[in-house]
Order: sequence, then C-alpha cells, then structure tokens
Amino acid sequence: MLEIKDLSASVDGKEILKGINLSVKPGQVHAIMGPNGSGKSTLSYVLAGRDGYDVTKGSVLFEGKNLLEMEPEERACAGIFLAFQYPVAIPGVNNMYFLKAVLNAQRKARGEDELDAMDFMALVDEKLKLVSLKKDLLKRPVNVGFSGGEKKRNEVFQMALLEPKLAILDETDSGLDIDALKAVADGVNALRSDGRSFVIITHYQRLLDHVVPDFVHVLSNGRIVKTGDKNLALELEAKGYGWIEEQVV
Amino acid sequence: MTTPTLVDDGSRVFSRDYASSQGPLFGDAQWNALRERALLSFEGMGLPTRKLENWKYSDSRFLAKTPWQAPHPKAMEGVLEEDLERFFYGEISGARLVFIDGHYCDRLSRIGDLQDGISVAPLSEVHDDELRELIDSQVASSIEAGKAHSNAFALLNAAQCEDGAVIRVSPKTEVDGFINLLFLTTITEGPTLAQPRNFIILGERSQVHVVERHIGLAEDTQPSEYFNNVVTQVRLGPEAILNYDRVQREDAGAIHLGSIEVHQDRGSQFKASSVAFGASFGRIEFAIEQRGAGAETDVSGLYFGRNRQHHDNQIIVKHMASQGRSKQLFKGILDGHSQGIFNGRIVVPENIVGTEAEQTNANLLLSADASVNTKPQLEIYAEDVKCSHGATIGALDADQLFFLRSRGMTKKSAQSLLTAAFASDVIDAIQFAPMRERWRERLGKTLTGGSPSADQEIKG
Repeated sequence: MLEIKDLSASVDGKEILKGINLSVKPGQVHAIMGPNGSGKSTLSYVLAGRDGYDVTKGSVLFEGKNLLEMEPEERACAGIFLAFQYPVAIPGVNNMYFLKAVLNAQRKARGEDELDAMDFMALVDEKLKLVSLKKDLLKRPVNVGFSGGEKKRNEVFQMALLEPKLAILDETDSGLDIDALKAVADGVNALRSDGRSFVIITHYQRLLDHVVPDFVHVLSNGRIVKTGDKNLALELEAKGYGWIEEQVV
Repeated sequence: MTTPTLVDDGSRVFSRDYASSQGPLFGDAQWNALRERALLSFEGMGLPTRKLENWKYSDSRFLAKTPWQAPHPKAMEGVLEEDLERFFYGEISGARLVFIDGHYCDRLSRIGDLQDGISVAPLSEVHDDELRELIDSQVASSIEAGKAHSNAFALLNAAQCEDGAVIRVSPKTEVDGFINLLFLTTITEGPTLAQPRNFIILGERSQVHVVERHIGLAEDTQPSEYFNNVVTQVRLGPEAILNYDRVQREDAGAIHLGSIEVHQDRGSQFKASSVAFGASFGRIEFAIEQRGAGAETDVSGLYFGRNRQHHDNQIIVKHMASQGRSKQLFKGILDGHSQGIFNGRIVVPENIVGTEAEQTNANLLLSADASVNTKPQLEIYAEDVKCSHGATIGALDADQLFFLRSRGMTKKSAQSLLTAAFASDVIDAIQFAPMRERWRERLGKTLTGGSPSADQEIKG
C-alpha cells in the first residue's frame, strides 16, 4: 500500500530525513518511535504534503501512484489521513459544516454522490458510537475551546467519518490523560480492518498497550535504525532510546 | 479645520459647474439659505487632501478633474419591476423607496399600507411644515458638523441634494417589517453625480428597521463612471431603537462617498451594519454623537476590496453623555491591488462617567499587493472609562489551510471557507436576516477565482 524508498527531506535547507525505507501492507499497523527531533513529525508532514518540506531524494508510492506529485487534497481523496499532533482551531467554521464539506469533497473527487443533510446526520450518529465525542462539540467551531483530549478525539472522529485507507497518527497520544488515551485507542481499534493500514508515530509506548502494532520502527537522526515487533516498544520503554543510538554508532 | 477662505483647487469650478447642470431644486427660502451656506463652506474648505487627519490615506482632489453632470431623470424609465426582483426577498412586509440616479421613482416604490405612527416619503414631497422645520434644523446641524470635521462632501450634498428618503416614526411606535431604501444607478451616458440625502427621525421609545442599499445596475464588464455622494441623518429620541443595515455595491468604476450622521438621545440604541463591496473609490463615514445618558451604539462593518478598489472607513463615536456604551467592529478583506483604510475614533470628554467603548479592526490580506492602513484614535479625557481597542493585519493562516486541504478540501475552497470564517461575525451583524444569509452563502463564491456570474448574483 505504501512504499517509501530512500526518502530524504529537508526543512529550511536543513536535512531532517536521511534515507527512510518503509513498506506498509494493507491491514498492518506500524509504530514509529524515536526521540524528539528524530524526524517523526517531518515524515508525517512529508506524507501528507505540507508546504515547506522539500523532498531531496527517494520516492513514495501509495497504491502504486507517486504520492509526492500529489496535492495535499489529492492525497486525502486517495485515502490518506493525517491525525495532527496539534489540531488547529478554526474560529468561524462550524465543525459539522466542516465535516460535511470535507466528506463530500472526498466523495465528489472519487466520483461518488454527495451525501445530503439527512444521510450525513445518520452517518455522524453511527460514527459517534465509535469515538466517545460529545455531540454538542460538533455544533461548535472546529476545535475552538476544545480541551486537548477533545481535539484528539475530534481527529479520530474525522478519521472514522472519512474512512481512509492509510491513517497516520502523529503523536495522537501526546498530552492525553488515561481516559482520553483509552478513548482514542478504542476509536483506532474499532477502525482496524484488513484493508486499512496505520502508521502510528509516538514518543511513548503507552498507546501501543492499547493499539498493538505489527511492527515497531525506531527513527533516529532521520533514519530507521531498528525494526522489531511489539516487544521492541517495551524494551524502549524500559531502557530509553540511548542504547539504540549507542548500537547504531 | 481649515480656515474659511476660498481655496483654488478646482472645487469651486467643480461645484458651480455641477450646479448649473442641475434642474431646479426643491426647497423654500429657508432651505435655499442653508444650501447657500453649505456651498460657501464647501468652497471655503476645498477638496480634502492628505493633510487632513481623517483624509490621510485618501486624496479627493482627483474628483474635481471629472466634469460631473446631474443625471437625467429620464434614465429611470428603462428600469423595470422585474429588474428589481433580485434585490428583494419575497413577501416581506414594510415599505420600499426606490431612487434611480438620485431621483425618486414613484412607479417602483411601495409605500402603501403602513401602520399608524410612521411616515415615509421622498424628501422632495415633504410638505408638512413641522417636519420641514425639523429637517431644516437637521441640515443646519449637519453643516456645522461638516465644517468641524472637514467633511467637505457632506457640505456639498447639503448644498446640492436633489432628493432622498424621509422616515419618521412617532413616539411609542414599533414598526413591523422593514423600510427598504434602494438607490440604483443605471448605465449612464456621461459621468454623473447624484447626491441623495436621507432623514431617519425616531420619536421616544419607537423602533424601526431600515435597510439602505446602493447598487449599480451596469454589468461589471461595461465601463460606468458615476459618483454617488450620500448623506443619511439619523436622530434617535429617548429610548428609541434604530436597526440599520447598509450595503454599498456600486459598479466597478464608481465613486461612492457615504456619510451617516447620528444623534442619540438618552437610552437610545443605534445598531448598524455596513457592507462595502463595490466602487473603485469608496468611503463610508459614521459620525455618531451620544447626547443623552445611557445610549448604546453598535456598528459593524465589512469592506471587501479586489482589483484596485479603495475602501476608506471612518467612524467617530462621541460620548457626550454618561453611562454610554459603544462598540465598533470593522473587518477588511483585501485582494488584488486593493487598499483598505480604517480610522476609528472614540471621544470621551472630561466629566463623562461610566463609558464603555470597544473598538476592533481586523484585516485579511489575500494578496501581496493589497494593503491596509488602520488607525485607532482614542481621545479620552474622562477618568471613569472602560475602553479597549485592537487592530490586526494578516494573511490566511497556513496551518488552517493545510489542515483543511489535508482533509480533502481544494486550496481554493479552503481559502474561501477561511475567508468567509474571518468575516463571519460582521456578516452575523447584518440584521436583515434574508440579506445576511445571502451574503453568508455567497461571500465565498466571490473570492479569488470566483466566477463573474456569482459576483453578479451577490448584488442584492
């Protein structure tokens, strides 16, 4: 589904990613762990197509198509979803209006019929069951006055509604209390399926207690330096990142 | 303030040449004396230049270079009832007064079945002596204010106005429905200047909702050169409430100068919205004086510049009595090479107590070539005042744009959505609900890349 080969990228002329290789098959959950500044968020922004992240080398194929040539909205319509580390607030844009607009933009791009207000509401009610998000938050402007946990739940709710093929979760667990972490994890688990893949970027192991990954990769200084299964995450939690960096050196 | 000696900047030739193109003007001896006084004051002042504080970013002298002529009343014959349908909103009760090229159009106006306690008429047809006197005293005070605030064009209007609307509400009368004032300009043969003057006079504890719109009828693709110099005078009796919505949607080549002069008695409320959308050179000037205690003033404005449009917004609120409250909220969206100006003044003299005044001006620049000048002018000499002000200038937020695009929205849609969101509170301030919804719905369509047909639709 996603083939990243020898990917290098820089921000403001500074090289952050230095030759990443990663292959994600349908239905797999990959966790990418690593210390601060290792390039985790850069990788997620490069995959989502943010301006200011210059790919200097390598390729990224998504279902055989060259992802790097696509606009951010084309990537979204193709089935890529990025859950933001810091979801932005958008005053003046009603959450429900926003959700309907983006869902229909994606449906339209895929040649599907746009949902009318009634069908959309039915879909919202169905998806709300997956994510414990208070319904009245949908009537407010996007993320305005939301707590940290509510913002992250809102991200997972958007993911549930948009049903992506590949979801990239960029430190979705950061800043969450236990209840919110559990709610986010339940949402992600409910969305796991044979056809849907996840790349979970995280600094800590605790989200992976709830969402058990197939692979764990350690990103350090712009490269994947170690790959293992879920036990690698436990080892990292116990020993910290230092021992891996020593091994690499 | 300039000294009242004649200046030689073309203003005298401009005003006299224009006057000779006008037909006979209405008015008795008293009114004519006022006209003459206003004309002399205008000529003494000359055309405002950047040397004046409130004209710092708008030089008006270019206006005297065009040989403006009074529009011919015959032009209105070409405007048909069905041409107006898009400017109205179904069967909404109230009255409408239609002016075409500054002339009252009886055929298209509907004054009919108004309830007791309200009178609506064109200025040229006001014959009631008491009302005439009231209007005369209003004009006299407007002339004094024009001299004090260097509002040369309000003076010119006082000297040369041909018609306008007069709305008077008796004490304790709450008017159902809306009074629609529609000022249309047709495609004209030569450069024309129209100078309507309106009066809205509310008795004690009365209430009315007035919607004043200035709309050009030419398609934007056709050249149209005209100049509308409009004054609306508002006088609110004790505890009276005026809901007032104003739209400036002149043709692309037009000049629009609008002055709204408001006097508020104790406990009265002036709730106003203004949308400035059209014209190549537009200026709106709110001058509000709270003369009685406990008055409330709430003015919101949206200015939207594209191409080389110039939108100047001036507002002054004078708290001349205690326990007054005022709020100014102006937002600018500036695209292309357009220029926006906001100059907001709050005046609180010594010994006035309990004033609460708030001013906000936010500007969104959609293009690197657009510009804005924003200037708060707070003149507060009293001790017991709560006053806040803030001004911002910025571009669309890159994080928000990326967020929306990452969810599947095209760049253009995301820009439109964020721009509409920026303006949402000033759109909310439009009190005439169907008009508010139309602007909300269609604002996005007129943004960068919006089609000309969408642009036409928004004219109402």
